[in-house]
Amino acid sequence: MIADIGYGALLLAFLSAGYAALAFVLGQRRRYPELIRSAENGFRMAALWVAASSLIMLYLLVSRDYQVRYVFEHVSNTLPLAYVLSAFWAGQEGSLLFWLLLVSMAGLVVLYSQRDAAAQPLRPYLLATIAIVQTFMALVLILPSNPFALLANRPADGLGLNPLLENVGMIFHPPTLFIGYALYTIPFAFVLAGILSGQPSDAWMARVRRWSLMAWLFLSIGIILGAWWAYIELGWGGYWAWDPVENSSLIPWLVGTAALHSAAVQSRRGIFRTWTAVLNILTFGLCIFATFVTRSGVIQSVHAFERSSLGWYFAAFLAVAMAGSLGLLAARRRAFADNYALESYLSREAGFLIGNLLLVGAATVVFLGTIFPAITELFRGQQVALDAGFYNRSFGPIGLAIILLFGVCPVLLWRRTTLAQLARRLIVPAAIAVLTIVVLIVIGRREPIALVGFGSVAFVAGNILMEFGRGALARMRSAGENPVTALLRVVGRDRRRYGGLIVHLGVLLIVLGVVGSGVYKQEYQTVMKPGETLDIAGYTVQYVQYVDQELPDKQRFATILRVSRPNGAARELVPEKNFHWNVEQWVSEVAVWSRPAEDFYVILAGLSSDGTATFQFLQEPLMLWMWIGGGVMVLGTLLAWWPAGERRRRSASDTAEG
Amino acid sequence: MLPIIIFLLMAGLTVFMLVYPLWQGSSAARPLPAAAAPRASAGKCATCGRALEPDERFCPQCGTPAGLRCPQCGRALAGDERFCPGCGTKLEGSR
Repeated sequence: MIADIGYGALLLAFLSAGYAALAFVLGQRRRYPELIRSAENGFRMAALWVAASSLIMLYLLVSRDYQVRYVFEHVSNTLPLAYVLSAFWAGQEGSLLFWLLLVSMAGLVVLYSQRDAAAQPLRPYLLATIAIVQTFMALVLILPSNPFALLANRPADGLGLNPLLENVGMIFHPPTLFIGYALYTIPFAFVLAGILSGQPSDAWMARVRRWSLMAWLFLSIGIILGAWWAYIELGWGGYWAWDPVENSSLIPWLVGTAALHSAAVQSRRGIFRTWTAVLNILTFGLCIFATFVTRSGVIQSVHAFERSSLGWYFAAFLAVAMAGSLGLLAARRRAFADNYALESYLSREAGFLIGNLLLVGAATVVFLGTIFPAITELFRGQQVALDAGFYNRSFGPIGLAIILLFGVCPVLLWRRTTLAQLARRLIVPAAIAVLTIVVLIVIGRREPIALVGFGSVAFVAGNILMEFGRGALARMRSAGENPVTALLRVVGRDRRRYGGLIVHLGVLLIVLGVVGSGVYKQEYQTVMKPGETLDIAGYTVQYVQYVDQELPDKQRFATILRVSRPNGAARELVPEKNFHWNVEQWVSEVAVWSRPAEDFYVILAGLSSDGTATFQFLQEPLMLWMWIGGGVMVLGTLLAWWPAGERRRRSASDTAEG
Repeated sequence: MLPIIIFLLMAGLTVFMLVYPLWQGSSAARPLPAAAAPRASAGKCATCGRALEPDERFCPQCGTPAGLRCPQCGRALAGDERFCPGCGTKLEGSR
């Protein structure tokens, strides 16, 4: 009964959102303000009914109403409450409802925040676009993907969550990714509204910036959490497998990154307007594409979601949305004309442009690699997937070029730079890079990839830190501040720039992890009996005992290891291999000792009845920096996102004089 | 029976919310502002049109950068120049 009300709420959400979209456009075209106010109410009602159906879904999950098919398939009597709640987005129907909820809530924020006079011409089209996206999602939920579908009877227990998904990463990874996807609706809606209302793009791009940043932030966190989940939970010691579903989240991230940088140049110099609009449209399209890849089953993936006809709904929506918006943009391209062309190829604008082209190039490589199996199926009748080698060979060099550009771009001046200026500002970072490479060679780390990778990181990091130093030094001289105050002030006064540089530092830390674990990863496999002690790669491993336990949801086989270092540091590591009743599968739980220098990663590969165990030990240098780098990226993005406060206004006077 | 009644109530509320602004009629109607393109002008925010104090580098209402200008000729500056590209004035104290 309650499920029926949930379905009814979805139906009303569909009708309200559809009505709102129509009424907004008609009201604006015909200059009929009452109709626009009615449309706004429709928009509010759609959000209300989506929220109501989401609450009903949560209630059904928590009350374990197994007559609802979605609840039966994702919850069981033994599932802990946190995972019961996360089941809301663990399955297809629930995740789409969650997405619709996010779009609706973001839509409400837009409804209440974009109310100033300058937003008025934009507003109806903006809300109409969001309402169209809501209408589509609601349509999918009431037709092919009904989360409230009922079973004929009420089973006593549900199937429960796939044990691989029972991990903290799984509670947070999907929703952060979905928040990113959902928030990218808003920049798209702004672009479309800008085109339809004929407003000059510089005016509304300033409003888009913080939405794009927030969407990008959540997409970044989602991808990093996904990598972390794969590393901790999948038990193969890697974090990224170039799987289609992983790729499909990376593609919009790359294009979204390009869009952010392009928008930064537009706001600063009034160029790249069309390019910025196109990138924002594409980012939204690629978020929809990600859902299409995940849900259609067109491309085989280890993620193995249910295959369904749903993918084709998304393909159709994607085709209409992209053709419509890009077509409109082409028709109105004159409104996006730049004030002037690029003045010099040795300028910060040109640096941003090259960076953008590299990002889009990288996205294209990943995109082609991802759809390659589907293309081969078309021509050869079977899917041929590309291995990680393809991506490493093609994505690696582009990635390196992007990283090097991080180092050059901030020292380039706007408009034009002379080679002498560039050389003067690059000489110290270049020296740091050379020194790093020399030190690496001296200590015997001579692998070319490591030399290039660590050398580049040193070059760029030196450069970014010098940027901070230069800014702080200028303030120390001019305002006589102490170094800490000067640094905080200089960062606080241009948060966009320094936030961006901090994000770049985070990326560098991730590169450290990628190169370190990629080049220096070591793998050992041994058989040990309980009580035995073994020395492996600078670690003393003592196999203390094993545990064989019958739990309600699984048979638990755990081995307790005491691992110590020569310096006396020690850890208890408990790798497990458990048989889960609900899926009748073995699932490994790895144990990791993370230190700044390296991770010591233990997999219980096999266990016989007398406790003799086969262990795989992995040494993964610098892995920890990958997750720290992710955290630094988040901090930098928040800094760039944070609204300008009172301090900015007070300290503005001295620059206005100059 | 109860779900149907609840659904009808929900639908009724929705219809009321949609119809009410139309029914309220023109008495409460406010004219829509004309779709005028905001234009950058001295002392006004290019985005929202708010009047800016001379020392405000960012519009306090919408956050748009007010833009640096040469104190001599008023030419818009990117912020990195050491000399104004318009009149050649030395820009001391700028970033």
